Amino acid sequence: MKRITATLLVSIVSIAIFAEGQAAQPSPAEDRIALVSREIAKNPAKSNLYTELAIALLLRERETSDTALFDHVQAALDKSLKLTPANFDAQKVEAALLLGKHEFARALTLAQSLNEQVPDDVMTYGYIADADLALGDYADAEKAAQWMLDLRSHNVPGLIRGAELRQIFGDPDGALEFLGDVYQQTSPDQLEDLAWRATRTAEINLAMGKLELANQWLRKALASFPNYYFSLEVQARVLEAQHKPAVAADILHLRNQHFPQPESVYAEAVAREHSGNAAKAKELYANFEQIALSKSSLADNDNRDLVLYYLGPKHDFSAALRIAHLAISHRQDVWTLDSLASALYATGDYVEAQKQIEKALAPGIRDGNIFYHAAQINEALKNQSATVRYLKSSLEANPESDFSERARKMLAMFTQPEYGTRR
Amino acid sequence: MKTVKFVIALTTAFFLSVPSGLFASSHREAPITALDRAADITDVYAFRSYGPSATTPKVTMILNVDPFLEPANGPTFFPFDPRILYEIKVDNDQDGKEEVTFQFQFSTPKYDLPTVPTALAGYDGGVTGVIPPQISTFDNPGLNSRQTYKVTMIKNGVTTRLRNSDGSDFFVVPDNIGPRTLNYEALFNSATYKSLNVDGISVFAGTVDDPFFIDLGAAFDTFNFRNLSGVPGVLTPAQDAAQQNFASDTVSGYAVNSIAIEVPVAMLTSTGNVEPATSHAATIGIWGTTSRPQETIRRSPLPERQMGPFAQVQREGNPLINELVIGIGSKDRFSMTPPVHDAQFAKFFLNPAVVTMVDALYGVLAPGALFSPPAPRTDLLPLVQYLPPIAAPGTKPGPIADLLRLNTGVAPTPPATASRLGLLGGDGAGYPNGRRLFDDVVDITLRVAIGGVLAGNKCGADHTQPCNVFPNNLLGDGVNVNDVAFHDDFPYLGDAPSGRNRRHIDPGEPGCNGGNTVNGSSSAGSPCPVD
Repeated sequence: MKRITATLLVSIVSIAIFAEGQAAQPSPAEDRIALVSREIAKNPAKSNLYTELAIALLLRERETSDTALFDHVQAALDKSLKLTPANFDAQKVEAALLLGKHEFARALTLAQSLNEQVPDDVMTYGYIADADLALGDYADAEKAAQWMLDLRSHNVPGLIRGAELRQIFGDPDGALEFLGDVYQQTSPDQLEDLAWRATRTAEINLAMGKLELANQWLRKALASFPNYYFSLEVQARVLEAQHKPAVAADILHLRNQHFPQPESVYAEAVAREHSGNAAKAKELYANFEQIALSKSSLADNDNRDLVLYYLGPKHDFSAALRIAHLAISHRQDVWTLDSLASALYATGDYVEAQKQIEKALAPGIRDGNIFYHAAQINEALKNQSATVRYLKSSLEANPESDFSERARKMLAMFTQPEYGTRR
Repeated sequence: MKTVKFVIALTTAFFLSVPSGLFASSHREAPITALDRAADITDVYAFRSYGPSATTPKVTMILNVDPFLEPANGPTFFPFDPRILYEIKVDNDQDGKEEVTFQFQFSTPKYDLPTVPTALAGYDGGVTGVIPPQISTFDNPGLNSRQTYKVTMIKNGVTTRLRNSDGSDFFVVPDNIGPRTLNYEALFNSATYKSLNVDGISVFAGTVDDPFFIDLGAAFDTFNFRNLSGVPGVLTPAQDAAQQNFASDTVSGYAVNSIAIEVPVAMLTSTGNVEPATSHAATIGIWGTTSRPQETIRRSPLPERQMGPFAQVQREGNPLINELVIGIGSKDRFSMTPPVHDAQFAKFFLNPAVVTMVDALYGVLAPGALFSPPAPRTDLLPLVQYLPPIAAPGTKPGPIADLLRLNTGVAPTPPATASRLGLLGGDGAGYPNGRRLFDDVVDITLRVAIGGVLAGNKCGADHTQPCNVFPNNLLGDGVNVNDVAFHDDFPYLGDAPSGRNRRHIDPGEPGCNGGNTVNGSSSAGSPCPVD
């Protein structure tokens, strides 16, 4: 047993040392990993310490997007569960790990089982809500998140889930209200938490076309946690919306220096293409396609980006539809439904595309891109009034969306020039 | 199109710090109310009124909240929370759901200006221009802040606002800060409203003596009850029969916020009549709830026009259920769940973990002295269903639901002949047939739940011996009576201890063995035992 513990610790310490190369000061998660590792060295038979280690490693994964850490999290949990079989806290972290690995169905089953054991545990409801959100079961997600808020008024995990749901239900202002509350409640020494919360706030502002506000929040995020990958990704999207693809590409290049993910590689490829660097874009697209295709059947995949790639740069619509169907077999959230609708539209199945886009819009989400897709589909079906309605909704929801220029032009063909000029 | 990728996993702290629940009296029994004192229900009482004003059969129902109020803890003392909806609910058709509800909502305390520096100030006839006269009425400027409340009755879907017949406000009795400042008794009497727009109903709300009595310190300390008879937690027959305490009442000298309402029986039964005890319609179920406006995920389009919806924070029917019966990890869900859905907690009712714990404890402390009956404890079902001996035989049992059941057909027992042990003491008008202020629910619960003294149970090492024998039928904490006398008429509650002169009777201090009796002479008597 000692040998296993020693091996685990050596590998954890080396992770921390390797990751430390990115920053002069150890991050909060690295501090925590080091602290818990020291405790484990002193008390190698205490199961709760391995659970703590698993948590610290998960936090480090969130700081870095280094998904290789998941294996170490699992190892720590295995150790904890071996020392104290079926211990509740370790199982909770296991649910969090499954969510991190995008194994949402398994995470949901585990979280529900834990919830039956201890119905008063707030975070277990959070994991149920997370899994339901990812799978597209918004009614159940709302039930779980509402229970969190009822159990402990204004609790941070509950507010975060509530914010996600408010966005899905078409209330981005309400989402920002919850996130504002969350940000106020966050301690100044929770650097990555501050950055995540500020970035999420920026992301919602971006989705509303409030680019300057988004930038303000991103500045806060990056001041709290410099070079935070999530902030850099969102910053690049803001720059794209501001028609600065070259700067966006450089930001994404910086982001991809450490633990690049297929989606961030794809984003950089798009930015390179938009900035006129076709050769680099081609290289990155190829890199993305290779990795994304290899993962397309796994739980943790990039199928939605892959669909975008096939619909856009690759122009392989049948491949897009195949991947979209694969994605929808795993989850029916609004984004995956939108993705399928886009693939169906591209392949000419407008009737089915309309069904899927209506499903995507059913929860009430007000997203500029989804509305634009709905307009395209209805235009193909010659539903002029619906087309106009969706175009207007798209521009109202986000006057700076990826499709806002096209939406304005299209709308100008149908209606008065009120929406025909850029605000 | 950009894919908005959820970063939902690991989006926040992994553990939300919550205090662990503890078993105790009904004070702070669940994490949710440990964090929300004002919504914490300490006790619910319901009994056939026995005072001189109950010339027709009536039921008094009391909902106490906000535990362990130290009466000297000024200067703003203990207003009811205006954001809480306080409710007393009545099930009269055995379905576990309310048919009659009484809602109490309190105003935000209003502070008058110019003001005195403390919330309450008064002195005899007053000091001109500086100190108002002793406070004995609600218009005295020394009262400084006054809280009012409104009462609504919802019966079979019909809502009736209850008001004083002259239209005046209902005032809340303030904390009893001390005899120089106020005449508590005068305010108490003024705030007992008996002339309402609905005939026969009386209401009261205010800070009063906490009527709960228990050796709480011993109970918390893993049932470390005093050794009064040679076996800890067991009384002698003489101690059992005495109207005095043999251990210190931990709640002595503390106040609580109380809401009381007295309602004619005929307004509560499903038939609209006073039913005989043998009638299937005679038994009603009562429980209290506290609720707060929900912080909803879906916002109202006009939030400024809506106060609700309310989400239940806590509820209580029988005493000590959430503390002693419901397991850790389920206490909040129990608190927030309507009683009609209590079937999910049946495993706790039928096999209370606390019984196993105490049984094991006595196996070590006094081997062979105490054996509890084995699970499943179907003998406890009358607490959570409409069954004899409370309900008449043949009454529809209804779903498992933690309600305080009261057979309204059972006439009240005059206080002089009433037993603190209620039904166990041969007094049919006492707990668990309703609950009176002086019912010793701690001893009753110890004997019923742990001692298993109800008929049919088998105890002993091999579970073949009757349970209703020594020591099972003499289990007790040694606190038999409250430290303060109760009023003899509605609202029956005792006067809040004075902040200046209050005394908490602690182990080793005078107040036992004849010292603290229902006449409130708490400073006399022998020292309460430490061991």
